[in-house]
Amino acid sequence: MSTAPDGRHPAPAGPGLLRHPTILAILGFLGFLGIWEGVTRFGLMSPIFLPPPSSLPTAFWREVTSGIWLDRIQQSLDHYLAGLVLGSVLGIALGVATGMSRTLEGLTAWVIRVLRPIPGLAWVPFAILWFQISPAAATFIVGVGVFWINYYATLSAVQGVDGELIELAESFGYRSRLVKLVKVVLPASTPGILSGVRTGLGQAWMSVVAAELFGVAGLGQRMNEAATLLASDIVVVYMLTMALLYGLVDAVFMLIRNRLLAWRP
Amino acid sequence: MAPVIDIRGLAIVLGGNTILEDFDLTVEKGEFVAVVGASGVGKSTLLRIIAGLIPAAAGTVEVAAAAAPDRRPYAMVFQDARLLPWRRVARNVEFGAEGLSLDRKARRARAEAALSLVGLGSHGQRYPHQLSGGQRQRVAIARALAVEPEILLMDEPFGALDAITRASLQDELVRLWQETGKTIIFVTHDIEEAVYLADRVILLGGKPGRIQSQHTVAAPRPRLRDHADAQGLAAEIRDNLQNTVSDGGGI
Repeated sequence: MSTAPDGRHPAPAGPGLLRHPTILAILGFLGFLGIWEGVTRFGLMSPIFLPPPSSLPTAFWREVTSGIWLDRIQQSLDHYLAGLVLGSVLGIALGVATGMSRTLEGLTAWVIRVLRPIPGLAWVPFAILWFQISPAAATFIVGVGVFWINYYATLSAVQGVDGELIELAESFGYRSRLVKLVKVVLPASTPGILSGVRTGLGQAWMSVVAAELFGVAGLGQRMNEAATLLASDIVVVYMLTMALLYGLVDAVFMLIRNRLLAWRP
Repeated sequence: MAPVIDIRGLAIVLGGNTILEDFDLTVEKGEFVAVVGASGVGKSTLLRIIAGLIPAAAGTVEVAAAAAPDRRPYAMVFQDARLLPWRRVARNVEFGAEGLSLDRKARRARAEAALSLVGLGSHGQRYPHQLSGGQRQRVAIARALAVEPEILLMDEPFGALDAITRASLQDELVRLWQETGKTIIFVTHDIEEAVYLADRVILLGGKPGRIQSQHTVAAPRPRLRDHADAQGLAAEIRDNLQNTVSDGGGI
Protein backbone atom coordinates (compact mmCIF):
# COMPACT_ATOMS: atom_id res chain seq x y z
CA MET A 1 0.00 0.00 0.00
CA SER A 2 1.35 3.44 -0.89
CA THR A 3 1.90 5.92 1.88
CA ALA A 4 1.62 9.68 1.65
CA PRO A 5 4.79 11.68 2.41
CA ASP A 6 3.46 12.75 5.81
CA GLY A 7 3.30 9.11 6.86
CA ARG A 8 -0.47 8.69 6.77
CA HIS A 9 -2.35 6.41 4.47
CA PRO A 10 -4.13 8.23 1.65
CA ALA A 11 -7.86 8.76 2.11
CA PRO A 12 -9.99 6.21 0.21
CA ALA A 13 -11.09 7.40 -3.17
CA GLY A 14 -14.71 8.50 -3.74
CA PRO A 15 -17.29 9.87 -1.32
CA GLY A 16 -16.61 8.31 2.09
CA LEU A 17 -20.20 8.33 3.34
CA LEU A 18 -21.39 6.07 0.52
CA ARG A 19 -18.93 3.39 1.56
CA HIS A 20 -20.34 3.03 5.04
CA PRO A 21 -21.80 -0.48 5.33
CA THR A 22 -25.04 0.70 6.97
CA ILE A 23 -25.62 3.33 4.29
CA LEU A 24 -24.91 0.75 1.60
CA ALA A 25 -27.32 -1.70 3.22
CA ILE A 26 -30.09 0.93 3.38
CA LEU A 27 -29.49 1.95 -0.23
CA GLY A 28 -29.61 -1.67 -1.34
CA PHE A 29 -32.81 -2.30 0.56
CA LEU A 30 -34.53 0.79 -0.84
CA GLY A 31 -33.44 -0.27 -4.31
CA PHE A 32 -34.94 -3.70 -3.73
CA LEU A 33 -38.27 -2.18 -2.64
CA GLY A 34 -38.16 0.21 -5.60
CA ILE A 35 -37.70 -2.55 -8.16
CA TRP A 36 -40.38 -4.65 -6.47
CA GLU A 37 -42.83 -1.72 -6.53
CA GLY A 38 -41.85 -0.88 -10.12
CA VAL A 39 -42.55 -4.36 -11.43
CA THR A 40 -46.24 -4.07 -10.54
CA ARG A 41 -46.59 -0.31 -11.18
CA PHE A 42 -45.39 -0.68 -14.77
CA GLY A 43 -47.66 -3.62 -15.33
CA LEU A 44 -44.93 -6.26 -15.67
CA MET A 45 -46.77 -8.45 -13.14
CA SER A 46 -50.28 -8.42 -11.80
CA PRO A 47 -50.58 -7.34 -8.15
CA ILE A 48 -52.30 -10.66 -7.49
CA PHE A 49 -49.15 -12.54 -8.36
CA LEU A 50 -46.82 -10.02 -6.79
CA PRO A 51 -48.38 -7.51 -4.39
CA PRO A 52 -46.45 -4.21 -4.38
CA PRO A 53 -44.81 -3.23 -1.07
CA SER A 54 -47.04 -0.15 -0.88
CA SER A 55 -50.05 -2.44 -0.47
CA LEU A 56 -48.58 -4.23 2.52
CA PRO A 57 -49.24 -1.72 5.36
CA THR A 58 -52.98 -1.83 4.68
CA ALA A 59 -53.01 -5.63 4.55
CA PHE A 60 -50.93 -5.77 7.68
CA TRP A 61 -53.25 -3.38 9.52
CA ARG A 62 -56.30 -5.42 8.51
CA GLU A 63 -54.74 -8.56 9.96
CA VAL A 64 -53.72 -6.79 13.16
CA THR A 65 -57.06 -5.10 13.82
CA SER A 66 -59.01 -8.28 13.19
CA GLY A 67 -56.85 -9.95 15.88
CA ILE A 68 -55.84 -12.74 13.53
CA TRP A 69 -52.21 -11.66 13.32
CA LEU A 70 -51.47 -11.90 17.03
CA ASP A 71 -53.51 -15.10 17.34
CA ARG A 72 -51.57 -16.86 14.62
CA ILE A 73 -48.25 -15.65 15.98
CA GLN A 74 -49.14 -17.00 19.36
CA GLN A 75 -50.22 -20.35 17.96
CA SER A 76 -47.08 -20.71 15.87
CA LEU A 77 -44.84 -19.66 18.73
CA ASP A 78 -46.51 -22.30 20.88
CA HIS A 79 -45.69 -25.05 18.37
CA TYR A 80 -42.27 -23.62 17.80
CA LEU A 81 -41.23 -23.29 21.41
CA ALA A 82 -42.74 -26.60 22.52
CA GLY A 83 -41.13 -28.51 19.65
CA LEU A 84 -37.86 -26.68 20.10
CA VAL A 85 -37.62 -27.30 23.83
CA LEU A 86 -38.74 -30.92 23.58
CA GLY A 87 -36.48 -31.76 20.63
CA SER A 88 -33.48 -29.91 22.06
CA VAL A 89 -33.74 -31.35 25.56
CA LEU A 90 -34.18 -34.92 24.31
CA GLY A 91 -31.50 -34.54 21.63
CA ILE A 92 -28.99 -33.07 24.07
CA ALA A 93 -29.79 -35.69 26.70
CA LEU A 94 -29.36 -38.61 24.29
CA GLY A 95 -26.25 -36.98 22.80
CA VAL A 96 -24.65 -36.64 26.23
CA ALA A 97 -25.60 -40.18 27.22
CA THR A 98 -24.27 -41.82 24.04
CA GLY A 99 -21.22 -39.57 24.09
CA MET A 100 -20.32 -40.80 27.56
CA SER A 101 -21.22 -44.46 27.22
CA ARG A 102 -19.62 -46.76 24.68
CA THR A 103 -22.32 -49.33 25.43
CA LEU A 104 -25.16 -46.97 24.66
CA GLU A 105 -23.36 -45.73 21.55
CA GLY A 106 -23.05 -49.32 20.35
CA LEU A 107 -26.65 -50.19 21.17
CA THR A 108 -28.08 -47.20 19.34
CA ALA A 109 -25.71 -47.24 16.35
CA TRP A 110 -27.96 -49.07 13.89
CA VAL A 111 -31.24 -47.67 15.17
CA ILE A 112 -29.88 -44.20 14.56
CA ARG A 113 -28.50 -45.13 11.17
CA VAL A 114 -31.98 -46.20 10.12
CA LEU A 115 -33.98 -43.34 11.63
CA ARG A 116 -31.59 -40.46 11.00
CA PRO A 117 -31.96 -40.13 7.20
CA ILE A 118 -35.76 -39.81 7.41
CA PRO A 119 -36.59 -36.16 6.80
CA GLY A 120 -38.65 -34.52 9.54
CA LEU A 121 -41.52 -33.88 7.12
CA ALA A 122 -41.73 -37.58 6.28
CA TRP A 123 -43.16 -37.97 9.77
CA VAL A 124 -46.25 -35.94 8.83
CA PRO A 125 -48.44 -38.99 8.11
CA PHE A 126 -47.65 -40.44 11.50
CA ALA A 127 -48.01 -37.09 13.20
CA ILE A 128 -51.54 -36.92 11.80
CA LEU A 129 -52.29 -40.56 12.66
CA TRP A 130 -51.11 -40.18 16.22
CA PHE A 131 -52.16 -36.62 17.02
CA GLN A 132 -54.68 -35.71 14.27
CA ILE A 133 -54.50 -32.14 12.98
CA SER A 134 -53.63 -30.64 16.33
CA PRO A 135 -50.97 -28.49 17.97
CA ALA A 136 -49.39 -31.71 19.26
CA ALA A 137 -48.86 -32.87 15.67
CA ALA A 138 -47.06 -29.64 14.77
CA THR A 139 -44.98 -29.85 17.93
CA PHE A 140 -44.04 -33.41 17.08
CA ILE A 141 -42.86 -32.54 13.57
CA VAL A 142 -40.87 -29.58 14.82
CA GLY A 143 -39.39 -31.68 17.60
CA VAL A 144 -38.21 -34.50 15.33
CA GLY A 145 -36.10 -32.18 13.17
CA VAL A 146 -34.65 -30.33 16.15
CA PHE A 147 -33.89 -33.58 17.94
CA TRP A 148 -31.44 -34.87 15.35
CA ILE A 149 -29.58 -31.59 15.02
CA ASN A 150 -29.08 -31.39 18.76
CA TYR A 151 -28.27 -35.06 19.10
CA TYR A 152 -25.40 -34.89 16.61
CA ALA A 153 -24.06 -31.53 17.77
CA THR A 154 -24.05 -32.73 21.38
CA LEU A 155 -22.57 -36.13 20.59
CA SER A 156 -19.64 -34.65 18.72
CA ALA A 157 -19.14 -31.93 21.37
CA VAL A 158 -19.07 -34.51 24.16
CA GLN A 159 -16.79 -36.88 22.28
CA GLY A 160 -14.52 -33.96 21.49
CA VAL A 161 -13.94 -33.02 25.13
CA ASP A 162 -10.21 -33.00 25.83
CA GLY A 163 -9.31 -36.30 27.47
CA GLU A 164 -6.59 -34.53 29.44
CA LEU A 165 -9.25 -32.53 31.29
CA ILE A 166 -11.01 -35.75 32.21
CA GLU A 167 -7.71 -37.15 33.48
CA LEU A 168 -7.20 -33.96 35.47
CA ALA A 169 -10.59 -34.46 37.12
CA GLU A 170 -9.70 -38.08 37.91
CA SER A 171 -6.37 -37.02 39.40
CA PHE A 172 -8.33 -34.96 41.92
CA GLY A 173 -10.41 -37.98 42.81
CA TYR A 174 -13.48 -37.23 40.69
CA ARG A 175 -14.17 -40.78 39.53
CA SER A 176 -17.94 -40.96 39.12
CA ARG A 177 -19.35 -40.25 35.65
CA LEU A 178 -21.91 -37.85 37.03
CA VAL A 179 -19.29 -35.68 38.71
CA LYS A 180 -17.10 -35.68 35.61
CA LEU A 181 -20.17 -34.80 33.55
CA VAL A 182 -21.05 -31.79 35.71
CA LYS A 183 -17.56 -30.52 36.35
CA VAL A 184 -15.89 -31.06 32.99
CA VAL A 185 -17.88 -32.63 30.17
CA LEU A 186 -20.94 -30.36 30.16
CA PRO A 187 -19.14 -27.03 30.50
CA ALA A 188 -16.49 -28.10 27.99
CA SER A 189 -19.09 -29.08 25.42
CA THR A 190 -21.41 -26.11 25.96
CA PRO A 191 -20.11 -24.18 22.91
CA GLY A 192 -20.78 -27.17 20.64
CA ILE A 193 -24.17 -27.86 22.20
CA LEU A 194 -25.25 -24.23 21.84
CA SER A 195 -24.27 -24.11 18.19
CA GLY A 196 -26.52 -27.13 17.70
CA VAL A 197 -29.36 -25.36 19.50
CA ARG A 198 -28.88 -22.34 17.25
CA THR A 199 -29.06 -24.44 14.09
CA GLY A 200 -32.20 -25.97 15.60
CA LEU A 201 -33.77 -22.53 16.02
CA GLY A 202 -33.71 -22.03 12.25
CA GLN A 203 -34.67 -25.58 11.35
CA ALA A 204 -37.62 -25.52 13.78
CA TRP A 205 -38.99 -22.39 12.17
CA MET A 206 -39.07 -24.08 8.79
CA SER A 207 -40.79 -27.11 10.27
CA VAL A 208 -43.42 -24.94 11.97
CA VAL A 209 -44.48 -23.44 8.69
CA ALA A 210 -44.43 -26.79 6.91
CA ALA A 211 -46.42 -28.49 9.68
CA GLU A 212 -49.03 -25.73 9.65
CA LEU A 213 -49.48 -25.94 5.90
CA PHE A 214 -51.25 -29.20 6.68
CA GLY A 215 -53.87 -27.31 8.59
CA VAL A 216 -52.73 -26.84 12.20
CA ALA A 217 -53.67 -23.24 13.06
CA GLY A 218 -50.79 -20.79 12.90
CA LEU A 219 -48.82 -18.58 10.54
CA GLY A 220 -48.36 -21.27 7.89
CA GLN A 221 -51.99 -22.22 7.91
CA ARG A 222 -53.06 -18.56 7.62
CA MET A 223 -50.68 -18.14 4.68
CA ASN A 224 -52.14 -21.14 2.96
CA GLU A 225 -55.65 -19.86 3.59
CA ALA A 226 -54.78 -16.43 2.17
CA ALA A 227 -53.13 -18.01 -0.86
CA THR A 228 -56.23 -20.00 -1.76
CA LEU A 229 -58.21 -16.71 -1.63
CA LEU A 230 -55.56 -15.09 -3.85
CA ALA A 231 -54.89 -12.57 -1.07
CA SER A 232 -51.21 -12.55 -1.88
CA ASP A 233 -50.60 -9.31 0.04
CA ILE A 234 -51.53 -11.19 3.22
CA VAL A 235 -49.18 -14.03 2.26
CA VAL A 236 -46.33 -11.52 2.03
CA VAL A 237 -47.31 -9.98 5.38
CA TYR A 238 -46.89 -13.41 7.00
CA MET A 239 -43.67 -14.13 5.17
CA LEU A 240 -42.22 -10.94 6.60
CA THR A 241 -43.68 -11.75 10.02
CA MET A 242 -41.76 -15.02 9.99
CA ALA A 243 -38.54 -13.29 9.07
CA LEU A 244 -39.09 -10.82 11.91
CA LEU A 245 -39.91 -13.48 14.50
CA TYR A 246 -36.96 -15.63 13.52
CA GLY A 247 -34.67 -12.60 13.74
CA LEU A 248 -36.00 -11.78 17.21
CA VAL A 249 -35.66 -15.33 18.52
CA ASP A 250 -32.14 -15.61 17.14
CA ALA A 251 -31.12 -12.27 18.64
CA VAL A 252 -32.44 -13.23 22.07
CA PHE A 253 -30.67 -16.56 21.81
CA MET A 254 -27.38 -14.90 20.90
CA LEU A 255 -27.66 -12.63 23.94
CA ILE A 256 -28.08 -15.65 26.20
CA ARG A 257 -25.34 -17.59 24.43
CA ASN A 258 -22.85 -14.75 24.69
CA ARG A 259 -23.55 -14.54 28.40
CA LEU A 260 -23.01 -18.26 28.87
CA LEU A 261 -19.83 -18.20 26.82
CA ALA A 262 -18.42 -14.96 28.21
CA TRP A 263 -15.28 -16.87 29.18
CA ARG A 264 -14.27 -17.35 25.59
CA PRO A 265 -11.49 -15.10 24.28
CA MET B 1 11.41 -42.37 59.42
CA ALA B 2 8.70 -44.36 57.68
CA PRO B 3 8.55 -43.81 53.92
CA VAL B 4 5.57 -41.88 52.57
CA ILE B 5 5.62 -43.86 49.34
CA ASP B 6 6.56 -47.52 49.32
CA ILE B 7 6.47 -49.34 45.99
CA ARG B 8 7.37 -53.02 45.87
CA GLY B 9 7.58 -55.41 42.95
CA LEU B 10 5.52 -53.12 40.77
CA ALA B 11 4.76 -54.12 37.20
CA ILE B 12 2.77 -52.02 34.74
CA VAL B 13 1.35 -53.41 31.55
CA LEU B 14 -0.35 -51.02 29.13
CA GLY B 15 -1.86 -52.28 25.90
CA GLY B 16 0.15 -55.50 26.07
CA ASN B 17 3.46 -53.69 26.63
CA THR B 18 5.26 -54.13 29.92
CA ILE B 19 6.28 -50.60 30.87
CA LEU B 20 7.81 -51.20 34.29
CA GLU B 21 8.75 -54.51 35.85
CA ASP B 22 9.93 -55.61 39.27
CA PHE B 23 10.11 -52.01 40.35
CA ASP B 24 10.88 -50.92 43.93
CA LEU B 25 10.98 -47.36 45.20
CA THR B 26 10.66 -45.72 48.59
CA VAL B 27 10.33 -42.00 49.13
CA GLU B 28 10.74 -40.34 52.51
CA LYS B 29 8.37 -37.69 53.81
CA GLY B 30 9.47 -34.26 52.68
CA GLU B 31 11.89 -35.63 50.13
CA PHE B 32 12.32 -34.03 46.69
CA VAL B 33 12.86 -36.84 44.19
CA ALA B 34 13.46 -36.26 40.51
CA VAL B 35 12.86 -39.02 37.96
CA VAL B 36 14.73 -38.81 34.66
CA GLY B 37 15.08 -41.15 31.72
CA ALA B 38 14.57 -41.50 28.00
CA SER B 39 11.11 -40.85 26.54
CA GLY B 40 8.76 -43.77 26.80
CA VAL B 41 10.59 -45.39 29.68
CA GLY B 42 7.60 -45.03 31.99
CA LYS B 43 8.32 -41.88 33.99
CA SER B 44 4.83 -40.42 33.58
CA THR B 45 3.28 -43.85 33.96
CA LEU B 46 4.96 -44.16 37.35
CA LEU B 47 3.27 -40.93 38.51
CA ARG B 48 -0.11 -42.11 37.24
CA ILE B 49 0.30 -45.36 39.15
CA ILE B 50 1.01 -43.48 42.37
CA ALA B 51 -2.01 -41.27 41.71
CA GLY B 52 -4.14 -44.36 41.14
CA LEU B 53 -5.07 -43.25 37.61
CA ILE B 54 -4.01 -46.58 36.10
CA PRO B 55 -3.95 -50.00 37.76
CA ALA B 56 -0.80 -51.96 38.52
CA ALA B 57 -0.40 -55.38 36.92
CA ALA B 58 1.56 -56.67 39.91
CA GLY B 59 3.13 -55.41 43.11
CA THR B 60 2.00 -52.92 45.72
CA VAL B 61 1.97 -49.16 45.93
CA GLU B 62 1.52 -47.87 49.44
CA VAL B 63 0.96 -44.18 49.99
CA ALA B 64 1.16 -43.45 53.69
CA ALA B 65 -0.32 -39.98 53.55
CA ALA B 66 -2.49 -38.76 56.39
CA ALA B 67 -6.09 -39.52 55.50
CA ALA B 68 -8.28 -36.51 56.23
CA PRO B 69 -11.61 -35.54 54.67
CA ASP B 70 -10.37 -32.04 53.91
CA ARG B 71 -7.10 -33.03 52.24
CA ARG B 72 -5.97 -35.26 49.42
CA PRO B 73 -2.96 -37.54 49.76
CA TYR B 74 -1.47 -36.33 46.49
CA ALA B 75 -2.11 -33.85 43.70
CA MET B 76 -0.80 -33.80 40.15
CA VAL B 77 0.68 -31.02 38.06
CA PHE B 78 0.90 -31.79 34.36
CA GLN B 79 3.14 -30.46 31.61
CA ASP B 80 0.30 -28.41 30.16
CA ALA B 81 -1.47 -26.45 32.86
CA ARG B 82 -4.88 -28.04 32.05
CA LEU B 83 -6.85 -25.12 33.38
CA LEU B 84 -10.58 -25.15 32.71
CA PRO B 85 -11.05 -22.26 30.26
CA TRP B 86 -14.60 -21.53 31.45
CA ARG B 87 -13.58 -20.96 35.04
CA ARG B 88 -11.90 -17.86 36.36
CA VAL B 89 -8.47 -18.36 37.88
CA ALA B 90 -9.75 -18.46 41.48
CA ARG B 91 -12.41 -21.04 40.56
CA ASN B 92 -9.78 -23.11 38.77
CA VAL B 93 -7.75 -23.19 41.95
CA GLU B 94 -10.83 -24.37 43.83
CA PHE B 95 -11.45 -27.19 41.33
CA GLY B 96 -9.76 -29.98 43.26
CA ALA B 97 -10.84 -28.69 46.65
CA GLU B 98 -14.51 -28.92 45.65
CA GLY B 99 -14.36 -32.66 46.25
CA LEU B 100 -13.24 -32.25 49.87
CA SER B 101 -15.42 -31.70 52.88
CA LEU B 102 -14.84 -28.00 53.14
CA ASP B 103 -17.46 -25.29 53.24
CA ARG B 104 -17.39 -22.70 50.53
CA LYS B 105 -15.78 -20.07 52.71
CA ALA B 106 -12.91 -22.32 53.76
CA ARG B 107 -12.42 -23.39 50.16
CA ARG B 108 -12.27 -19.79 48.97
CA ALA B 109 -9.77 -18.95 51.67
CA ARG B 110 -7.58 -21.87 50.72
CA ALA B 111 -7.65 -20.99 47.04
CA GLU B 112 -6.76 -17.41 47.86
CA ALA B 113 -3.85 -18.49 50.05
CA ALA B 114 -2.59 -20.90 47.39
CA LEU B 115 -2.80 -18.20 44.72
CA SER B 116 -0.81 -15.74 46.80
CA LEU B 117 1.72 -18.47 47.52
CA VAL B 118 2.46 -18.69 43.78
CA GLY B 119 2.47 -14.90 43.46
CA LEU B 120 -0.84 -14.54 41.60
CA GLY B 121 -2.97 -13.21 44.46
CA SER B 122 -4.32 -10.38 42.30
CA HIS B 123 -5.20 -12.52 39.27
CA GLY B 124 -8.11 -14.50 40.70
CA GLN B 125 -10.78 -12.87 38.56
CA ARG B 126 -9.02 -13.39 35.24
CA TYR B 127 -9.71 -16.14 32.77
CA PRO B 128 -6.94 -18.61 31.87
CA HIS B 129 -6.60 -17.24 28.34
CA GLN B 130 -5.62 -13.89 29.83
CA LEU B 131 -2.52 -15.38 31.49
CA SER B 132 0.95 -16.17 30.17
CA GLY B 133 2.20 -19.76 29.98
CA GLY B 134 4.22 -19.36 33.17
CA GLN B 135 1.26 -17.84 35.02
CA ARG B 136 -0.99 -20.68 33.91
CA GLN B 137 1.48 -23.21 35.26
CA ARG B 138 1.56 -21.31 38.56
CA VAL B 139 -2.22 -21.54 38.72
CA ALA B 140 -1.94 -25.30 38.15
CA ILE B 141 0.49 -25.50 41.07
CA ALA B 142 -1.84 -23.42 43.24
CA ARG B 143 -4.72 -25.74 42.32
CA ALA B 144 -2.62 -28.70 43.47
CA LEU B 145 -1.63 -26.93 46.72
CA ALA B 146 -5.27 -26.04 47.47
CA VAL B 147 -6.08 -29.68 48.29
CA GLU B 148 -3.20 -29.60 50.81
CA PRO B 149 -1.64 -32.77 49.49
CA GLU B 150 1.08 -34.67 51.28
CA ILE B 151 2.69 -35.47 47.93
CA LEU B 152 3.03 -33.38 44.78
CA LEU B 153 3.31 -35.45 41.62
CA MET B 154 4.78 -33.26 38.89
CA ASP B 155 4.94 -34.49 35.29
CA GLU B 156 7.45 -32.34 33.39
CA PRO B 157 5.67 -29.29 34.73
CA PHE B 158 8.10 -26.77 33.27
CA GLY B 159 8.84 -28.63 30.05
CA ALA B 160 6.75 -26.37 27.86
CA LEU B 161 8.04 -23.05 29.24
CA ASP B 162 10.74 -20.75 27.92
CA ALA B 163 14.13 -20.86 29.65
CA ILE B 164 13.72 -17.69 31.72
CA THR B 165 10.24 -18.57 32.97
CA ARG B 166 11.39 -22.10 33.68
CA ALA B 167 14.32 -20.91 35.81
CA SER B 168 12.12 -18.60 37.88
CA LEU B 169 9.47 -21.29 38.40
CA GLN B 170 12.16 -23.76 39.45
CA ASP B 171 13.34 -21.36 42.14
CA GLU B 172 9.77 -20.74 43.20
CA LEU B 173 9.09 -24.44 43.46
CA VAL B 174 12.12 -24.91 45.73
CA ARG B 175 10.87 -22.06 47.91
CA LEU B 176 7.36 -23.58 48.05
CA TRP B 177 8.81 -26.97 48.90
CA GLN B 178 10.86 -25.51 51.72
CA GLU B 179 7.92 -23.50 53.05
CA THR B 180 5.35 -26.29 52.91
CA GLY B 181 7.49 -29.41 53.52
CA LYS B 182 5.67 -31.38 50.80
CA THR B 183 7.04 -34.56 49.35
CA ILE B 184 7.68 -33.98 45.64
CA ILE B 185 8.14 -36.46 42.83
CA PHE B 186 9.27 -34.53 39.82
CA VAL B 187 9.46 -36.15 36.38
CA THR B 188 11.65 -34.37 33.86
CA HIS B 189 13.76 -35.12 30.80
CA ASP B 190 16.12 -32.28 31.74
CA ILE B 191 19.00 -33.69 33.80
CA GLU B 192 20.29 -30.24 34.85
CA GLU B 193 16.83 -29.40 36.15
CA ALA B 194 16.70 -32.66 38.11
CA VAL B 195 20.13 -32.06 39.68
CA TYR B 196 19.31 -28.44 40.48
CA LEU B 197 16.00 -29.21 42.19
CA ALA B 198 16.11 -32.62 43.81
CA ASP B 199 17.62 -34.34 46.84
CA ARG B 200 17.77 -37.54 44.89
CA VAL B 201 17.74 -38.25 41.16
CA ILE B 202 16.44 -41.57 39.88
CA LEU B 203 17.40 -42.67 36.40
CA LEU B 204 14.95 -45.02 34.71
CA GLY B 205 16.06 -47.10 31.77
CA GLY B 206 15.72 -50.33 29.90
CA LYS B 207 12.75 -52.09 28.47
CA PRO B 208 10.80 -52.89 30.54
CA GLY B 209 11.96 -49.95 32.59
CA ARG B 210 13.63 -50.20 35.94
CA ILE B 211 15.87 -48.05 38.06
CA GLN B 212 19.28 -47.81 36.36
CA SER B 213 20.95 -45.66 38.98
CA GLN B 214 20.16 -43.39 41.90
CA HIS B 215 22.12 -40.28 42.74
CA THR B 216 22.00 -38.27 45.92
CA VAL B 217 22.47 -34.58 45.31
CA ALA B 218 24.56 -33.39 48.22
CA ALA B 219 24.88 -29.74 47.18
CA PRO B 220 23.65 -27.41 49.97
CA ARG B 221 20.72 -25.08 49.37
CA PRO B 222 20.30 -22.45 48.08
CA ARG B 223 22.06 -23.97 45.12
CA LEU B 224 24.04 -22.39 42.35
CA ARG B 225 23.09 -23.35 38.82
CA ASP B 226 26.67 -23.59 37.54
CA HIS B 227 28.14 -25.39 40.55
CA ALA B 228 31.02 -27.70 39.46
CA ASP B 229 29.77 -30.66 41.56
CA ALA B 230 26.33 -30.37 40.06
CA GLN B 231 27.75 -30.30 36.57
CA GLY B 232 29.85 -33.36 37.34
CA LEU B 233 26.81 -35.22 38.66
CA ALA B 234 24.74 -34.24 35.64
CA ALA B 235 27.49 -35.54 33.36
CA GLU B 236 27.59 -38.82 35.26
CA ILE B 237 23.82 -39.26 34.95
CA ARG B 238 23.97 -38.42 31.28
CA ASP B 239 26.65 -41.09 30.77
CA ASN B 240 24.45 -43.64 32.49
CA LEU B 241 21.53 -42.59 30.35
CA GLN B 242 23.62 -43.07 27.20
CA ASN B 243 24.52 -46.55 28.40
CA THR B 244 20.93 -47.54 29.03
CA VAL B 245 20.07 -46.41 25.54
CA SER B 246 22.97 -48.19 23.83
CA ASP B 247 22.29 -51.32 25.89
CA GLY B 248 19.11 -51.78 23.97
CA GLY B 249 16.73 -49.73 26.08
CA GLY B 250 14.77 -47.80 23.53
CA ILE B 251 14.25 -44.12 23.32
